[in-house]
Amino acid sequence: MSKLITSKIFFSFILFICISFQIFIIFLNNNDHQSEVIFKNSLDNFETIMFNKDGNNIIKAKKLVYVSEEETLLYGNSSLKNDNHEIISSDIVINFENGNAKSLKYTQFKNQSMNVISNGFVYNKSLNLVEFLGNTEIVFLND
Amino acid sequence: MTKIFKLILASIVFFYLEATAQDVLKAKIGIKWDSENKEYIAEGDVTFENDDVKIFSQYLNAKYEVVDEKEVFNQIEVREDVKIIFNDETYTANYGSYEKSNEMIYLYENVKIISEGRILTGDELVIDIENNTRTMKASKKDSIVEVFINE
Repeated sequence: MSKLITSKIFFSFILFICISFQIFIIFLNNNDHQSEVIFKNSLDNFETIMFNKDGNNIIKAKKLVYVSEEETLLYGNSSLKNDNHEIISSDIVINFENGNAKSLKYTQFKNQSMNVISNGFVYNKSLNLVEFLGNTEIVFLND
Repeated sequence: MTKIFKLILASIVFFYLEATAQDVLKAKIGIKWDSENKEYIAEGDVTFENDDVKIFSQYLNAKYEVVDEKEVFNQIEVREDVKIIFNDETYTANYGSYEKSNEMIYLYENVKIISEGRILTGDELVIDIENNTRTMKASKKDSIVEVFINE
C-alpha cells in the first residue's frame, strides 16, 4: 500500500516537472516572438537629407517605420544631424510635422559647446526645450 | 638648452589645460535644457564641477548667457542637501547660489563650514572667491559668528 502511494507521489512529481518545463518552453518561445518585431510600413537602412530653416538635416536609422500620420519611428540605431547638433540614439519617435522627437534609450548629444550622454531624451521644438532623461552627464566645452 | 625645452613644454601643457577647461554637470533623475529661457535644471543627486569648485545638491538651476556662441554660466542656484567643496573647505547648507560672474557663493539655513579640526555653524555664509574671504552671519545668540581671512 505504502509502495503504491510512494510511486503515485513519484509519478505526480515527474508529471509536475514535465508540465513546468513545457510552460517554461512556451514562455521562452513567446518572448522570442515578441523580440521579432514585424513592421508593415517600413524602410530598411533609411538615410535621408531634409532641408529646413536649420539647414540640412541628415536622418539615419536602421529602419524607418510609419507609426501614424503624426509619428514616425526611427527603429534601431538612429541619428539626427544638422549644422548645429547631432543626436545619436535608438528607437527615436519623431514628429515631422512639429519637429518634436523622443527616445527612452541611451542617447548621445553633441554640439559645439557641449557633449551629453543620458538614458533618453524628449525634444520639444516649439518650446526650445530638451529634456535629458535619467542618469545624465553634460560636459561643457569651454575652449 | 634643456631648460628652455622644458619651459616650452610646460607652457604648452599649461595653455592646453587652460584651453580645455571643462564644466561638468551630472544628475540622476535628468537635466532639462531650456534654451528659450537660457537655463539648465538638474534633479536628483546633482553634481556640478569645474576647476575652482565642486557643488552637490538634489536640485540645481543654472542660468547662462551666450558669449561668442558659447554658453557662459552667470548664476547657479542649488537646493536640498547642498554641499560645496572649495579649496580645503567643505560648506553645507539648505540652499544657496553661486554667482560665477563676480565669483561669489551665498549659502542659507543650517550653514556649516567644515575644515580640518573645526566646524563653524551659522545661518548665512558669503564666500568671496576672488578675495578669498568668508563671512558667516547668525541670528541666534548662541550661534557662532566669525569672519576669517585666509592669506
